[in-house]
This record gives sequence, C-alpha cells and structure tokens, in this order.
Amino acid sequence: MTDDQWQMHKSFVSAAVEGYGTITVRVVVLETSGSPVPSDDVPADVAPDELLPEEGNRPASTFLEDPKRGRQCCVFLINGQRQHAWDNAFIVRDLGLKYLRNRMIVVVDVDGLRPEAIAELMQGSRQQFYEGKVYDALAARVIATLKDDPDLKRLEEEAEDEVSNLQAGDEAVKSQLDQLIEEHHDQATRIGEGHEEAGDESQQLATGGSILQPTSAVVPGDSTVGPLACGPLLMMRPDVGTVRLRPDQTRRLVLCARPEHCWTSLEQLSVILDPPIKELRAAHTRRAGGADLDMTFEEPEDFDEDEYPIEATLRVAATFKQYAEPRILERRVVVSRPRARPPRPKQALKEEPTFLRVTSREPVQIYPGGPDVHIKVRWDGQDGLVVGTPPLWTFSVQCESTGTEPSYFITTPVDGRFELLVQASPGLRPGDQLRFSINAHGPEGRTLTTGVAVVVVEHPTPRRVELKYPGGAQRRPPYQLYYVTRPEWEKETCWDGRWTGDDPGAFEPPSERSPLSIFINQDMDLLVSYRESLLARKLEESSIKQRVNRYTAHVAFHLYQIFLKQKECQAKAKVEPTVETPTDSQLRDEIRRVAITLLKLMAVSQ
Amino acid sequence: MVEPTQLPPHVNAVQFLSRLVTASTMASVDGLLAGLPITPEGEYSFDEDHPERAWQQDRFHWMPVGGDRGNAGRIKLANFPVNPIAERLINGMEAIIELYHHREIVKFPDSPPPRSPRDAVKRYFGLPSLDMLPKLDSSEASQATRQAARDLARKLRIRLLWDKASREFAVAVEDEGIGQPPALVHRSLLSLGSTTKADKPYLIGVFGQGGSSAYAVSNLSWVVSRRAKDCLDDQEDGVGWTVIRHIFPKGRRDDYFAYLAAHPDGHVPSISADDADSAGLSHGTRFAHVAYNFGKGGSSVAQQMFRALNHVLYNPVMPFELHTSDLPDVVYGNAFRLSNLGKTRKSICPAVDKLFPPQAVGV
Repeated sequence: MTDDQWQMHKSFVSAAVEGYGTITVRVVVLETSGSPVPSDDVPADVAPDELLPEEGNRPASTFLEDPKRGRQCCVFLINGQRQHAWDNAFIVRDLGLKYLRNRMIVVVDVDGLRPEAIAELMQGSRQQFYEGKVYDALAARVIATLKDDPDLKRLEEEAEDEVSNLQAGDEAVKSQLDQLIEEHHDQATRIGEGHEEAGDESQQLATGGSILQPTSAVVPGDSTVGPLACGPLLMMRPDVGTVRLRPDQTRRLVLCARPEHCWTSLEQLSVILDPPIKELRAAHTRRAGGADLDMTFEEPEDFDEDEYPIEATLRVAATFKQYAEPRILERRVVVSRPRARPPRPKQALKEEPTFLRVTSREPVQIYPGGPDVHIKVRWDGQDGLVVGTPPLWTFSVQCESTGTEPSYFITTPVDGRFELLVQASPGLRPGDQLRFSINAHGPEGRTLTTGVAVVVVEHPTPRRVELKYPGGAQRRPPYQLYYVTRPEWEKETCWDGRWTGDDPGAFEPPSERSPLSIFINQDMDLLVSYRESLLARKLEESSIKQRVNRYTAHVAFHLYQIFLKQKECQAKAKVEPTVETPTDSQLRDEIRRVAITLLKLMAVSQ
Repeated sequence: MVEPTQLPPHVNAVQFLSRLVTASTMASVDGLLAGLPITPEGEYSFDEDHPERAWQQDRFHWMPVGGDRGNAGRIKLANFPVNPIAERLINGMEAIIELYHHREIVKFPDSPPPRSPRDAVKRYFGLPSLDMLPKLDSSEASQATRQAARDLARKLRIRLLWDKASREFAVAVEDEGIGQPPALVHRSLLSLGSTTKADKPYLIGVFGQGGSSAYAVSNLSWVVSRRAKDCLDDQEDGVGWTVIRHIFPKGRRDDYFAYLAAHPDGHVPSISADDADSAGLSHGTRFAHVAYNFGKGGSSVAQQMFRALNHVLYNPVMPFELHTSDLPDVVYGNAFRLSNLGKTRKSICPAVDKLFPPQAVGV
C-alpha cells in the first residue's frame, strides 16, 4: 500500500472550475440476494408495472435510516455529515431506473462547493438544504451525471429481465389473448371509434396489415426532415440504428414515447417486419411506461447457415389520443450467423501500459442540455498506477471545439476501464464538432494517446413526413365481450339456462351476424367476495381495477379455449360420430372450476 | 463583589463529581441537586444588563443558555432524535482535532492549519477518508492505519443507557478532546450562535448551536469538562460542570433553557484539579442528556441508533464507539460499510461501486 492510496479518485484535476464549485458523486448498486422481490411476497395477479409496497428486506434497507420506506437513499454530505437526502422516487422519476430503486445508493459529497454556495444551502436548523439556485444546480448536476451512466443502464436492463421472468406466465396469457384477437378478425364488424374507425373503403395504420397506403406520419428527426409536427414521438431504447440478432437469442428493446408521460395516451401499436420472415418473431408487451419488444430468430434445425445474414426492416407505428397522424419508427434488422466465442480471458494489466483506446462507437453524440455523455476508455495499465501522490501515471484531456468547450472529467480506472464524462454544457449548439485527445503520461516522458470525436446534435423533434406505409385494412373485432350483472341474470345467455351466483361466465359461438360472444358475470359470488377483500385491505383503486381486469382476461381466455375445443370436437364428430361434443352443462362446470381456482389462487398468494 | 459559589461545604466535591458523571436518570440528577443551595427559578430573573441583580450570595442560580432568555427558538431545532446526538459527536470530533492542533502549534508555531477536517485527521492520525479504509490492502502499513482508526474511535464514545425502573433513556457523549477550563465553559460549550470556529478551516460546525438542540429533546442535561493540562494557556486547571434544564416561567409563554451558574458573569460551578484527579477525571468533555425523548422507539432504540448514526454521519471524519451493551460497536459510517461489502464472508460485492471525479456545479 502506498501512504496515499486512499486518495484515489481524487487525484485528478478536472477542467477549470467555475460556478458554485465541485461535488463528487458515488453510486453503489447492491447485488440482489436472489430474486428482486421475495417470491412469496408477489401477488399472483400483480401487474407488470405495479409498484409493490416497500418492505424492510430490500438490499439497500440496511443502509437507509428507515428500512421500511425508500427514505434517504441519496445523501448529500458536508464533512461526512448528512445534511440533505432524497428518497428513491428520484431514481424512478429522474433517472428512469425503476428496477434499481431498492438497490441503489448515491452519496454526494459537496465539500468542494464554494463557501458562499454552502452558506446558501445550509440552514441553521441543519435539517435540509435550502432549495434555491445552488440547490437546483446541484440537483441538475447529480441527475446529469447519473442519468445515462452505461453501468446503471446495463443493470437496469438486467433487472428488467429478471422481473419479466417472474411475470412469464402472465406474458404467455397476454400473448395467447393476442392470438385470439388475430384469429377472429374475419367475423368482426368494427374495431374502434373516432379517427381510429375509418369507413368501409379506408385503411388504417397501426393496426397491422400489409396494404401500402400513402399517409402523413410523424417521425423523429431534425429540421432537414419535413416540417415540424406536434405531439409525442415514438422512440426506442436503446436507440440503435440497426438491431442485430443472433439465432435463438432474444433481444429486448423498449418502445417508449417522448415525452415519456404521453405513453399513457397510446391508443394503438403495431410492429411489423418487412419482408416478413417466418422464423423471426417480434412480440411486444405493453406496460405502463412503454412496451417491451422481444425479437427472436428461431433457427430451424435444417437451416442452412449460408442464408445468413438475414435482413429486414422493423416498422413500428403508434397512434396517440388527440393526434391523428401515426408515429412511425423504422430500424434495420440483421440476423447474423451464430458465433461460437469462448469467454474472453481477463486482460492482464501491466506495470508498463502499452495502449490507450476509446471503446465507445464514434462519432459520439451529445444533446445540448441533455445528460452527460459517458465515453468508454480502456488501457492495459494497472489501476494502481494512477493513485498515490504523485501517481506514476496521470491522464490529461484536451478538447478542440468549433464552438463552446464543455466541461469534462475522467473517472478512475477499474480493471483498466474508465470513462471520459462530457457535460452537455450550455452554449453547445447542434452541429458543433468536438475532438478530445486523451493522454496518459508515464515516467520518463512515456505517453499514450487516443482521441474521440463528439458531435453536438439537436434533440429529435416530431417531423411530419409523407410516406407509404403498410397498414391494416378495415377489419372486424374478434369477439364481443359482454358484462353481466345481477339485474341481467334473468336473460338466458348463460349456457342453456339462467345466470346464478356460481357462474363466472359463458360464451355464444360466432354466427354470420355476430362474432364470438363472451359473457363475464361481474356479480359472481366469489368474485364479489374477492373485490370486497381487496377493498378491506385498502388497496389503491387502480390496483383493484388491475386485479379484477386480470381475472376477467383469464376467464375470457379460458372461455375462448373452451370454445376452440368445442369447435374441434364438433368438426371431429362430423367425421367420426363416436366423438362426443361437450355439453353446455359440462362447459358450465369447467369454467366454474377455473374461476374458483383462479380467485382462490389470487386470494391465497396475497 | 459577588464571589463564585463553591460546592464545599455543601457537598464533598470528589463524591459529587463521581456521582454526577454516572448520573443517568432524572432521580439521580435531582438527588444530586437536592444537596446544593439553588435559588428557585422564580426568585432570580436573568437581566442581561444587570445579571447580578437579585443574585443571592453562596447560592447557584439558573441562567439562560447563551445569556439569552429567548434561546428556545435556537435550541428547538431537532426534528429527529438522532440529529442532536450527531451534533454532539461532531463537537467531540472537533475537540479531539483541536487538542492535536493546539499541541502542534505549541511545537511548531508557524505550522499552517489543516485545510479541512479531513486534512486534520490525516495530518494528526494518519487516517484517510473512512470509506477508503476497506480498500486498503493487507500490508503492514495498511493494518497499522486500520488499527489507528480503531484506536482513535476509543477517544470518542457515545453511551445509550436504559433505566428499567424509571423507563428512561440517557445519551452520554464523551470525548478525550481538548476540553474547556471552568472559566470558559459558559462561553464555549454553553454559548449559542457565537462560534469560535469560523476562522478554523479544520473544524466542522459554523452556527455554534447544533449540539444545543439536545437540550430540547431531553428532560435534563449535564456537562463536565476539563482542559488538557498542556493546553491551559494561563487558565486555571480544574473541572467545570453544570446542569441544563428547560424552564417554564409561571404565567409566561417564553420558555427557555437554563444552566446552573455559580456567578452572575455566567461562570459554571467548578471543581479543583486535585479533586478532579481524585475522581479520576482527565481532560475532555462529557455531555449527558437524561430522559431522552426517542418517541415510540421502545426497546428497538439501541438497534435503530446504530443504523441512524451510520446514516446521519455517513462518512464521518473520524470513527467513534457506540456503547449499547458490554461490547462497543465502532461506527465508521455507511460509506465505510458500503466499501466493506464483499470484504467479509457474509457480504457480497456490490454490482457497481463507482466514484465520479469532481463535477463542476452551476457552470
């Protein structure tokens, strides 16, 4: 150990400091102890976007002042003493890292601020900072530093995957319900209302289909792409230009709106591949803040590898309430041959480093007023070379700019990897070109150098364009869902008789004039009890609604399956008279058993 | 000419001091005070311009903390029980730093002061920021650094005391810092808003009233302080002590906090150096806050105390001991605990532990 080893991370000289001074930010993401949430804590009918109540056994609990709430996971320190804190809402709201909220701790050391700035923040009560100008700048800096951090984004994606695995059963049900819709198009009459419901001769985007139709659409772009439009944009995360796939490996992308809150006004969403590739699946699942798009190329056993690479265009269209023009997103999709690659051996770091290079793809883009850009850099020097006073090696960065020079910093190497952080400083203008030279200076004048280009680009704005886009022809809804309540029990729509408190639902087969009719009994005795139990637990109105909706969807789906089975039996019976078709009484018993099981399961698992 | 009121002949000073430093309940403190000649609150009303007015010779009097009858607004500043304790601990850290700085100045008068509290801890104790301790390697030098941190923690102690019979908590904070001579206790430890720290970059507090918030969350407090012998600077050696309590004047709404004074100029009662030596009291300061109000904490207070102190003093400039049972816990702060993840068998490394370099704010 060197006497000053503990000065690591602080021995770097940052760019000229102006404004209120400097802060250091430390972020720690704890490992999960297994599943992100104990499985016995998860209600069976929990929605994918439902925030479960915080409990004390979250990974970060032991580092919070109050473990049962997400209190004070981001602390602001002066001389090591906590003077202000944020709860984990900022991780969800400002950083968009919902699934890290129970694992993430942020420590902001503000000792580097100028005395006047600290004086503005500090109050005699010592309870919290004064939320004035300095505080606003401080908060903005913390968020800009963490917002697009690649390590945090990676962990968030991994956490999302874990959560989605927990919800696998639910996703399967949704997927099958989608199938239900597709298979019943032929017997439908209408699909929607307002601008969604075109006339008999018209066609509609964002409903699936393959008829090319000229339309006015809105795409993300700069001022060279059509006139400015209004309303939300359809975006994708990560925002890659080309979606690259390997056989039998699912890649998850996230479709979202900008501004993000507009997602709640999404009406329709369609995803198509052009040309269609039968082995390539693109399944999307809508959530509260966006939609997960899972793309998988399932390689058949007899597939000839010479067919690779396979290319297609991913087209996503969405319509939002109050905006008639669909929002369009197009990306190239490339499926490449499988690559058997052994795990890379860990790079040996040397006392005499031999290279320094940028590993981020160039040109790196930065948005004026946006979050910091993290440019990844690697070298093969040992991490300890840059600690100590003085360190054996130091880094320096020079910036050449055609306009304003932004603030930039270098992080400390960990396993030979570090980052150049470039702040989206005010004054940067779209079109500005920045060139950073990163130098490592060692003993005896040894120097390693690398560089990276950064381009200032404007935030994509909604642009109106005219294009031909494949959309769906007018088509009919797959089925009609009816809700039955106690006053309607006298109507004879329940199998071969009248409704009772024991009947969860029924169906009527499609006819020439109507699609499959599915009836759900909203006043079934057990369902009423379940609803009352949710109310007694003082659950949020939205949670109760979500759970009852989930029950309804499951029962409706099971009715659909019963219908299919009945149809199959009827077809077989025509050929083979010995085959028995289930009677209404048998069907009635089956859906009763299913509903009871479902409700018991939902109640017990809470 | 008013003479300072003395403990003898009313009580034996050595016995009194020995009992005072172990008093942890209202009954025990009241029992001690019962043997002293104390003028009731209603018979002496502090007058800032004429403090000697109505003063009764050879009696102790209740005098407003900070010499200000309107001090309640500057003392009632806590909104959580742990915050005043943290402030007291900060005061203790400063006292320890000040002791070493004073000794440095005696030896090297031209030595520049440390640039910050952390710089002071590094200079005097060879310690890094505590969150870096777990990242040190296993070399002898690193082990010595860790041991130095452990030894330093012994100089600052917080004791959580629970009296089953009275169901009262007491919180005592003891430091082996520079301490105060009896003549300066009322101007330093009992002052309000008149800080002596503003021109000392190696100290932490600025407002000069953080620790005082502990008076408001306890029924009664006592303090005992003795200056280190090599730092007396012509002041007389001995122990200064007093008791602080909340006064509710009859028929008035302006409650205030007062301490027991031995003289109209604000001096606290004192005990001679010989008596202090006999009682085994060396340099440093001890504050105890009796019948501490922890809300509905109940029996989990001890457990919560460790968690809360680690959070409020997230990365303290020096460690300290927390005594809730026979064996003390050393509190290094949560920043240390986070760095320690993966270093013990029971914990696993975090998925990410990233420290960004200094970031400019407001540019």
